[in-house]
Amino acid sequence: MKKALLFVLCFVMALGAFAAVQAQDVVEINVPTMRIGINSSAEWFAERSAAFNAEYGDRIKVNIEEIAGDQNLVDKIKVLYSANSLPSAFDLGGYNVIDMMKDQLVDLTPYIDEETRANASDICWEVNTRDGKILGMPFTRQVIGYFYNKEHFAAAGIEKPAETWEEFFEDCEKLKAAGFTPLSMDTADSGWVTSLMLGAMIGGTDEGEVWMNTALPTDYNTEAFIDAATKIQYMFQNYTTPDAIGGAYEHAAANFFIEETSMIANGPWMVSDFYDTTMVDEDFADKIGVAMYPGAVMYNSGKIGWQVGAKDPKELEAAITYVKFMTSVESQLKMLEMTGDTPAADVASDNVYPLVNETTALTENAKHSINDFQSLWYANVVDEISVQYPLLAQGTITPEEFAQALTDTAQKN
Amino acid sequence: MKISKWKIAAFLTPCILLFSLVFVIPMLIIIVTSFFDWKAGGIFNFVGLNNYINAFTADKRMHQAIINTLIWVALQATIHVSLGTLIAYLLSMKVKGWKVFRTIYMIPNVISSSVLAVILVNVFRAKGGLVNGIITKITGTTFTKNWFFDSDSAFITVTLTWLIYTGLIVIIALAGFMSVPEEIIDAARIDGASDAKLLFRIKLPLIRTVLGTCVILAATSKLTEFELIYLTTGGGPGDMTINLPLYLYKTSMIDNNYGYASMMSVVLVLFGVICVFLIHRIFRMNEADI
Repeated sequence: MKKALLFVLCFVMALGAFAAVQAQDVVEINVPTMRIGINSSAEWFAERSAAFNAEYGDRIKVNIEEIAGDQNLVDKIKVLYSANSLPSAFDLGGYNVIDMMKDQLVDLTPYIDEETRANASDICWEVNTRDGKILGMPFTRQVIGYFYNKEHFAAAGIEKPAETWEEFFEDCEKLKAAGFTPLSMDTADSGWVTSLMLGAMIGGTDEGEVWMNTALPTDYNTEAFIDAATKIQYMFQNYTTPDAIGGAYEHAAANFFIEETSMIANGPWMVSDFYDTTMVDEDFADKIGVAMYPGAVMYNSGKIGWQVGAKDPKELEAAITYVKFMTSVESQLKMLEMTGDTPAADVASDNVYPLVNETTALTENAKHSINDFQSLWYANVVDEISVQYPLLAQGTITPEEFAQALTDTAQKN
Repeated sequence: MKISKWKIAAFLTPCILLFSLVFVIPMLIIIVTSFFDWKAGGIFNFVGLNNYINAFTADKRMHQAIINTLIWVALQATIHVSLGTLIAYLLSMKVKGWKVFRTIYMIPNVISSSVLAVILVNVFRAKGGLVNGIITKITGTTFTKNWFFDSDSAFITVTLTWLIYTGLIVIIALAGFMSVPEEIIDAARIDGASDAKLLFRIKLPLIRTVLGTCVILAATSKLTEFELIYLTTGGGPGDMTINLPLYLYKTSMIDNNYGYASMMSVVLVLFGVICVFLIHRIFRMNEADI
């Protein structure tokens, strides 16, 4: 009996030792993500994670930390940065922390060979480069116009999307006269939809285009900015829904989905929702068109990609492998097909909704290509927009005071 | 039985160590760093009292945050506690159904702040909100007031998200009313005391320390209030509903100005200490009557 017990004990210990040796060969990396739950790319992330595990699971174990909400993930990364313990790899959906964290992010330049470089266009690499160091690996591009309801336009006697802002406002009047609320707008969470309109107005001139492509601006007291803020104020007061003030993107989108509003500024990742009959009527997608902003302006820029914070050499190697996998052309195409997000590489797929390709095609005729505010402006300015928009909308502050408030905030950095 | 000092020390040491580790040491770190310009990116320079001077002389948002915080503390310590005490007094009369009412009234206090915030956002929504819906029904014309974001209603609407939910105060004050000895009440009645006199001359003075506890709990809860404001107005429109904890969060997490946020933490702790000290004095908390 004793011998049998001794044998079992030895066997268990040997098994444990073998497992421990095996486990030592597997490198663990930590990857926090907000691509979960109702996030539009949650399905993509899950599919890619499964594919990565199938290919590298015997060598690399990815510990995924699920954090709901983009801003919560950004906050978490900031806390980790202040504790000098950034995760092995992370992406923030284009949110820019590179400028703040460049001292702790891994310089990826030595790991970018020709094959990897071909995975993204030059403009995408530029956005992820600081002082000649590549600090982010791009995998998507920012292409944003605005969507409009063709039925509403037809009922209001509008033949085609406006080419100038004067025409745009005339169209808003026509839509209003026809009984529609022209615009979906918001103020919460940086007022994404509203701020896209604001940026498009600023970027309608050569000078404005340069400004909208400038990283971390500290002076908003420009003529173009104040003029755009004046137009935004007018839009809030005349052309949008009562819940726009204080409302978030979800409210703006819901108003567009239920066909209460006629236009919404957003990127092609929204297109899949046009076909989701839990949110919209069955034929909704057929009613929707996409357009450039007046003045032939399009958001068309690189986007901040995956960043690496691993310090241990083995962990770093594993993190690079992981990031290269997540940013590969295959992953980009999957992203395009599953979410409508535009790839960083110059690739296309027939397996996407037509509106997605139509949006990308618009960039070819754009006169002004601009970057979005969330990628370029200081984080506290992006937050301050939500604080100031309601006051601007209600006329409590003037466009000049709005510009000054953002300037004051930017200069705190 | 006499317990040796060594034994007392041995039992207390783990607790003191733990308390030091999770509270005293972080508090000391916050006090020290409040004198530094400490920002993301490795900036860490001693600036003496600059953070404090800037906060109290130049930072308008800080001034607004302090004013709002103090107003909410005052409202909570007075109206909120008075309302809770009144309801507790009515319940102490044990009218029919008082237990059911007590339970229902406690519900907003037992659900999470985030759930309550979501409910209230929908109650006060401009479009499709319950309040606007009722007003529309009554008046017959579409009413779309944006309660949380209109400049003239934001502060009061945020205040209403907690001012009237006095469940916790009711429970504590009710226990206080119930603990007043029946003999004293009977004696007062024999002497011809009316219900009003019983309340103001006998019951309230006797539960003075209980009410003091209620005021401390209510007032300090507004020094730490964060979720309901963050999830409803985010401190807006403008700075109309910002308070110290929310400004502290934004300074730390969005501006990444950790030194300045530490200064705010110190100010907040000082406010708390002063608040508790004053309430102790006003309610003579260390003098028991029952």
